[in-house]
Amino acid sequence: MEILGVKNLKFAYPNEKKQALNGIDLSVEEGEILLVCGSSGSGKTTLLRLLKKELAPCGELQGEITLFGNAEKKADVFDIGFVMQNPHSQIVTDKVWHELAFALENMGLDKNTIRLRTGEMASFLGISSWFEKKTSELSGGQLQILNLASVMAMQPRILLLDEPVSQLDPIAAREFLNAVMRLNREMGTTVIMTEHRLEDAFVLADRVAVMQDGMIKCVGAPREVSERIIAEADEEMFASLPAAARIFSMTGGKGKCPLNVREGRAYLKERFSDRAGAKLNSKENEKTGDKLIRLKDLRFRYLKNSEDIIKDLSLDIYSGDNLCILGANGVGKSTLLKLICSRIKPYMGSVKHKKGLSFALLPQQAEMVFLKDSLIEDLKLTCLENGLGKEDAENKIDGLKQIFRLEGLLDRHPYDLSGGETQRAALAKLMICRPDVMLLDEPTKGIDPAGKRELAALVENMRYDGMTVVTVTHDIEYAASYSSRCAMLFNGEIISSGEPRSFFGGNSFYTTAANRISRGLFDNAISCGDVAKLCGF
Amino acid sequence: MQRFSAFHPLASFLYFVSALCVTMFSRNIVIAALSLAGAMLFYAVLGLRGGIWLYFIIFILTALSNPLFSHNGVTVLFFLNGNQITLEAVIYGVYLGMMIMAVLMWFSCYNDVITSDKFLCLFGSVMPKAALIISMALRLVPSFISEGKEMLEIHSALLPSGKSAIKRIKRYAAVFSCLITRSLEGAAERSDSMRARGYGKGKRVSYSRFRFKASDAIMIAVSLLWIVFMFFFGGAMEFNYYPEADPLKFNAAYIIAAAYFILPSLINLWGELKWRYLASRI
Repeated sequence: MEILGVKNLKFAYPNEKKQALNGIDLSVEEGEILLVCGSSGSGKTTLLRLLKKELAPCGELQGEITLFGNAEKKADVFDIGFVMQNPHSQIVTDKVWHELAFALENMGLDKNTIRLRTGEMASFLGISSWFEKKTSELSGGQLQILNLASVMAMQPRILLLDEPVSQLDPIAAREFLNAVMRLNREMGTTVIMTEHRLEDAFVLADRVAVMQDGMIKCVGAPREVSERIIAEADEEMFASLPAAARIFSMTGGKGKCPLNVREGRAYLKERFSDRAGAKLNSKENEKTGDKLIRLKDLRFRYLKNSEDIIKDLSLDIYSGDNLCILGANGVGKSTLLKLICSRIKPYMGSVKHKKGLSFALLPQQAEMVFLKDSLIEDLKLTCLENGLGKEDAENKIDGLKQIFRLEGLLDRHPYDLSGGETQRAALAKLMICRPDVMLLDEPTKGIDPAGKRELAALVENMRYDGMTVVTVTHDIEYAASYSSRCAMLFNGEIISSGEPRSFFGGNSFYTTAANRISRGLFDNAISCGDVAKLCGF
Repeated sequence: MQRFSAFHPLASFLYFVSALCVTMFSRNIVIAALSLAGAMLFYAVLGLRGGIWLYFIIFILTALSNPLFSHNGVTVLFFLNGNQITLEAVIYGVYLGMMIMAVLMWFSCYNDVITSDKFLCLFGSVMPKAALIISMALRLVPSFISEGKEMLEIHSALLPSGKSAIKRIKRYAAVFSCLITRSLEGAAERSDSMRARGYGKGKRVSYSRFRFKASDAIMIAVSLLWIVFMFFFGGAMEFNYYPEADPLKFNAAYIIAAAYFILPSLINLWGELKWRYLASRI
């Protein structure tokens, strides 16, 4: 049965000529999970918001939205749940139990019903152990599960998720998607979700809709859609496909397109078993420069009575490095960055810098580096404070504008930029101080594949200029594709480090999807390109 | 474990209100002493530590300053710089010190027992809107502080040149105004999230997790009876400090007062004993 139908929907934001949505036709069956994907700015969020009338943006709307098979009856606010991108900004109250009860209080339910529903929801989604905690003490992943639970407590028939896992680390993201899948399978809730990280989301979707320029390009089962994307050589979308599908396409596969590691392995075994044992040599050590920073046996804790967050950590950083430090959430990655640039001091061990070394740190929330109301003002101020004259400042900003592609963004408020744009602008600002070492804290959070490629190019550019870059991240694919050296932080110490190929080739779980697909057949293949190369393409 | 903090917020709140009122309005030195003893005992039983020295200092300052400034009373002890120091003024000073210290300590205990949820439960039914706003503020203040700390850290690292005090103040101001912008930005999204969950549709109720038990009713009755008792028989306990302090006389009401002030500690200690006994038989 059709639960939601959209007919020839057109929408334009006020004062904008371009149609944000340009003739959308969509039909959603009751109980299915529909994944809406597409590059940034393709109208995913606009479409989703229009489906929930309390959040519908202002603008010119044409076309028809039919809910629950009845165009006349307006949907009740409690029939449609909506979870947004940022886990922090959706939380309203100070206690977990109160947040769960928030929607139910608005419904005006009696005390015992609220008690029952919050209890049910908490035990279904595994919140019981932190039910009485303060919301300010929770991690991003927990907050997003809480947002989901608080919406589901209303018992909506349709659940709309707007890039719900883009701000989460991979493990928390998988947990969230599992919770969504359970709600769908066990409660029959219809789910419409947008996402650009498709590796995990593809597996749970019943159907996928690809959007481009405010239109739906194609709709179908995940396998059909991946085959279409491959056939049309759509570069933008191709980069978001699961690794198995990318390998399939790069090796000129025919027939059924594999979507997960298991299918990918089967495909490779079947077609390329004659090439088994092929291996890539690890990249000959790139010219290692002189030692810039030497960390020796560091120990650090935030409070006298807390536990050590960094334990006997030793690490050397060489000039010209593009070092990626990997690790799960909460292992002390951000702390390590602050130790490296001596913003905090260890209570044991030593941090030695080469003389006169300067640092810049890009924080996780990149927009925090801005203070002024427009980007240009902010950049100018930074130039002046760094002792540049008026003319020098303008030349400098012109140069940065070219490199960091800031045309058209300079007059905007820094908070109005998209994730990738904010990051480029913040990097430009940090570059004004001309640091020797650039430290990046989780730069790939909430960035789509195109943005990551761009970031990697900028980092390469900086290294070319003689800078050293240290990145902490949980994004394995990014580290494998772009770093010159990787180190893994676990339980407060560096447990392994090396050049990416030997680093990931040696791990069996903590490694890229391409490596897991080709393990046992090929050695040291860590990206889809590597696998394709070993297959002879 | 039977615990005083396990009572319904209304019951514990009423107890604190009555204990505070009686302490402040009785003007009887014995009642003040009993209240102080009860408050200190409960303070210890709750495991609170901080601030005890401050309370002692306040006590000593009040007890000393009254005889220095007030020279009423008939029993002169000695002369200081030509001013008479009287026994009555000393006694009154001690009474004032004990009263103030008792009130402060009851407040510390109140803070420990009446957590923010309990406070919201009390006022949510009377003023649901205000209760929600308080709850939102309790959520936003910690995040505002931690964000402010992080931004200050980022910006002091970004501008190493700003060492002078004026530059530093300017930077603090800029960071503060930026924080306000950020929180307004967040408010827009938060209001979306509230509307998406039906805020503003129909009549909102205020949910609290606390159940009202028979023991809560008993506790409330005890507090009310005590207030009524003090209202009618408080006069008999009137105590005059000037011109001559009344002699201390035994009054049966003191026993009731003592029992009342140590009641929360007794409840907790009884719970502890019972728990030890039960645990020994597991």
